[in-house]
Amino acid sequence: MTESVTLHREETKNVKWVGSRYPRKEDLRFVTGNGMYASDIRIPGLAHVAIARSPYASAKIKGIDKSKALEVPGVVAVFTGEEIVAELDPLPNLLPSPYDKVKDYGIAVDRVRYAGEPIAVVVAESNYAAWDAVEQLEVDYEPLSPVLTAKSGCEKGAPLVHENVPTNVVWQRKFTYGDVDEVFKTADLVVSKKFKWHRFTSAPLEPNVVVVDYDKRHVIFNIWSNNQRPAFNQAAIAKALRIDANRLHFISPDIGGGFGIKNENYPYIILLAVAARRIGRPVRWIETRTEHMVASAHGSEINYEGEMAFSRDGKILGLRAKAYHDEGAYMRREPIAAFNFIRHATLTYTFRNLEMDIYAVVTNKCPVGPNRSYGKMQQGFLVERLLELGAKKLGIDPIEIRLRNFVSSEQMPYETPTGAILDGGDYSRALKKVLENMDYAALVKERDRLRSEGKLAGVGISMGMDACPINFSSNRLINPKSTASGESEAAWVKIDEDGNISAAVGTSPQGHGHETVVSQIVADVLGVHPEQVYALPGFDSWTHPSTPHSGTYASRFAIAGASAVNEAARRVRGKVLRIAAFALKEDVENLELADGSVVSTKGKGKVPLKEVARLAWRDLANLPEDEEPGLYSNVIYKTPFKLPIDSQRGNFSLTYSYSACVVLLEIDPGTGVSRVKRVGIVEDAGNQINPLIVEGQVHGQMGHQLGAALYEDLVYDEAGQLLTATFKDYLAPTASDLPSYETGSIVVPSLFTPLGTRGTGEGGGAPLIACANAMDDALLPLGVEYDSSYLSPIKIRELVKSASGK
Amino acid sequence: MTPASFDYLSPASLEEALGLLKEHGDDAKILAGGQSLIPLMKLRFTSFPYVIDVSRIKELKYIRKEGRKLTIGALTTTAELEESGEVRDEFQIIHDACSNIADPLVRNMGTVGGNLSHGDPGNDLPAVMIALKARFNLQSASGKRSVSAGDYYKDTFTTDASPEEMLVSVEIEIPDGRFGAAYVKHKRRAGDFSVAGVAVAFSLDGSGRLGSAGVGLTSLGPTPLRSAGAEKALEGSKPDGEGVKKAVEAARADSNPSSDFYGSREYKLFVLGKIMEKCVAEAAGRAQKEGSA
Ligand SMILES: Cc1cc2nc3c(=O)[nH]c(=O)nc-3n(C[C@H](O)[C@H](O)[C@H](O)COP(=O)(O)OP(=O)(O)OC[C@H]3O[C@@H](n4cnc5c(N)ncnc54)[C@H](O)[C@@H]3O)c2cc1C
Repeated sequence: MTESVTLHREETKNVKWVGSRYPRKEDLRFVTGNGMYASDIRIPGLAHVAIARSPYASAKIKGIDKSKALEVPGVVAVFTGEEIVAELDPLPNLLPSPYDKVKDYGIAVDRVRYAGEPIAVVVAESNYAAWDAVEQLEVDYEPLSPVLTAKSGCEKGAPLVHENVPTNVVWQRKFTYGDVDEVFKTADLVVSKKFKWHRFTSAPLEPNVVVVDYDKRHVIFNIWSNNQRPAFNQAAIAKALRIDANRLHFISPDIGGGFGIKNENYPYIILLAVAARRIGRPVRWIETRTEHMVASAHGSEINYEGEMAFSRDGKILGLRAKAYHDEGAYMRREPIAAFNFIRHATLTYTFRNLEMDIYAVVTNKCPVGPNRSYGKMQQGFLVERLLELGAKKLGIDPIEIRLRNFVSSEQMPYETPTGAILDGGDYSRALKKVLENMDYAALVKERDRLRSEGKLAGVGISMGMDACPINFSSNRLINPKSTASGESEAAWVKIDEDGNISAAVGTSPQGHGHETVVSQIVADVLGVHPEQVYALPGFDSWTHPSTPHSGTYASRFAIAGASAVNEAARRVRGKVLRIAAFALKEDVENLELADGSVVSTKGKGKVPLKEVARLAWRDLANLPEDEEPGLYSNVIYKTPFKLPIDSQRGNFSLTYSYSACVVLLEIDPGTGVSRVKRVGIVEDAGNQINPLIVEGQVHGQMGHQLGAALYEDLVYDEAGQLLTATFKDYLAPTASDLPSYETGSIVVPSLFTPLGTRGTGEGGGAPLIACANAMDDALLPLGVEYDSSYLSPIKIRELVKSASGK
Repeated sequence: MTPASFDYLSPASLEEALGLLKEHGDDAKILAGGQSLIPLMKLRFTSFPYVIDVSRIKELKYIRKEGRKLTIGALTTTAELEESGEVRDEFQIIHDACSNIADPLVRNMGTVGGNLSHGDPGNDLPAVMIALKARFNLQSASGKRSVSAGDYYKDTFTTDASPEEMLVSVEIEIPDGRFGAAYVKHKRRAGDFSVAGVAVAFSLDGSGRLGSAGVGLTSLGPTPLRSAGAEKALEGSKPDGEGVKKAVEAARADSNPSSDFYGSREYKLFVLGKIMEKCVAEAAGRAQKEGSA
């Protein structure tokens, strides 16, 4: 169902491999159990780390007695938070003063702020001894009453999560665009509703792993981890460790899924670095599933109070909302999720009046961090849910109301009220295509048939948007003191003296298939087969190029990574052609590079690539005078970004991939259990370098988002204990719990990227939102509405019972 | 996997195992398939000085059918029980439960004896055995005895077996004539424990009324439960009549589920009603076919 790809840029005139469903090069090693993960690293003398954690959500630490722990056979050392922190500076955060004073070391010192927070690092000869010692640690706590919701954290007199800042609301801003009050006063219809965005996480199968070996001789920390952007995090790590960043040697081998959470294991890198240096031995920490659930990073949790104004004919006039974000105990990446509404605040629609009043509130829960579609699907949820309610109230068909409000393809590129510049696309075509693929009329018929059988059933539609990558000038809107702007990625391409081609990018893939995609791009530019290109796996800061933005996050590979490697390959190609032209005594314009040879189109002969490589590296006297030896290019690609327009507007992403989704949901009124009977999606990722991989990403977002809608919920009790701390209780879905996906795509190339690609890894939340819309459709006959992103059988059952009495 | 340290003992025969149990008493724990015990040990919720791995005792691995009597050795895995043709054809209720326990990986390891002896109110086989009025054969170094399934469960994770005793086999005998039984489990994901589960078994007389009935409940109280009230309500009633409604009420009265994120108490009791109706109907359908359960 993928349309044929037409690349619109000169560079890729000879496309053969880009755009093909080339099977993933990585898969053989992954499916045969030959992946190389951080926990596979073996170093002589390795000591094992277990982390002691707080059992309380909020408490004072009055003392830690480690004498018994030190007596456990095999224990090497026990470091309390206080001892670790003596060697550290606090982790940086993005908050403006005075909230930048919030102290975060990745380990508690005299106070714990969430259940599961590290309080001591135990090092032992075996993992068993380390855990034995954790059990023997005697900690004297004075429990305090915890803050467990954003709303209660805002109340006057609420206990302070961080005692050295004035309130728990550590970031608050109201963003206003257009004349919001006026349109709400004069609108034909205003719908308002409170929504809950529930806390969930992407739960990668491989938990966090960190191995640190401190090389005293060279004063280098060798760090193996599954961090998904070590080059990005290295500045924060170096600062905390009070060392120069070039003393950090990072290796991220194969990674078993990241989804944003694995940006956030850097505090553990710091703790282990301290321990390794103190004991003079390499140390390793492998997170358990339970530790991952209680203390890695959770997706954001929001209470929305939203309103949308409409004209009688269904035009959206404005959106006004308050958003209370429960940020958990520490602000590491936050308030980015809270702020990210700005990336595509108006989604695929044309309304110009908008007010977002954002409260980022610290609570005694696990810190919020990046999680697939970080802050983006949340905004989509707010817009799409209110739009759906408006359509119902106005009696306008949900498809029709969307068509009336879409930004049209003729309006592209289109600047939204927040300054985002939509990079092309055809929203109505995508929506129509998914409805056609799914036979919408039949879907509605099926819904009605289910209803006639006494079931509850609903059809839900949603658009989703994935704005990416990040123009870091957006940080200036969070904190005016920020001096960042733009973003970049590095790549090199090399043809060695024998004609072997290698390439490397700074992106640290987590199963994305970058080795495959890089090979395809380089193969096309250099006129070879992808098997002839060796793309370096993983990331190693001593062999891979990088910039401070490097890594795989924010759906950025197809933009930044692909552009960087494409440019590096082009430069090598240019040099190959110049050297060949010199050898053949032919003009460069008359040369073609194909099937591993440079050929004159005018019949002046050909030179194999291998021969060009020999000339370039070995036969230097035969090179043109002004040509440097070698065939190697290292490119730092600058994603074209500008500074913000003003204190609340700017284009903070380059591409805006989007999707249209439709689901048929069936609900058992007796148990409240929802089942997705059918789900279809059509997305536009622009030109697809590898449609097979794009489809895989779409499947991944489906699994995550349907899982979040139907199964996954992080539940805390009144004491602040996470109840869903294992896979028994945190209901991550398996293949048997999910429907089959009916995927399709349209291709409208991005106007702004060299390859016409859009970032599409995260997906914009459409499947989740469509489920919520379908739930409302299902409840319509009962005259009730649903208000959460989580389709809780218990709540739905209660709603059905209160509405129907049955 | 980092449990606290323990001594690992691996007897090759029942006799040897019973000797070790006698020797170590309270300090020892039987390890069968490990699918319930190991998760508790790895989270360090529990620990024991001695772990006696009984999985080498081949003599306790069998399924024997003689007429309407079925005997299952304690070390038979739930997968073996699930895959047994005889069980599927003639004791369908057991197949209902086994094919709904966790996933194939767990079923390949987990044993019938472990499933029944863990005392977890969420395990599926206890309710089935209660409904079928099974007898559990226990053995220790000093002798043998047998208890009925309904009397085996004392508290959460606590059974009638003493630390020196081992469950060696389970015996089920179904009455002559028309007999039907079914197990219905309501769960969230494919491999999950139940939110609630109901097992019902009964014979059907010539007039289509229920004779002697057995009702077992999963996840509806601190232990696997027998609902004597529901049994009484079913006896003498028709499988689609008022008796079923009364049985639901009685089962609710006999239940005592706690509220958690799988459901409030009220929710679970409501679900109990829904699945019990389904379960009785299913069993009644099967009872039409002479000689199967
Ligand atoms: C992911 C997962 C999901 C699961 N889901 C379900 C489910 O949906 N339904 C369900 O019913 N079960 C479920 N289980 C539990 C599983 O069925 C276990 O296999 C079973 O509960 C225990 O059997 P075992 O042989 O593994 O026993 P073990 O774990 O080895 O032992 C369990 C307990 O029984 C005792 N014991 C074992 N054998 C004997 C014996 N012969 N005599 C006396 N005491 C004995 C042990 O000492 C221990 O206390 C699940 C387990 C897992 C890991």
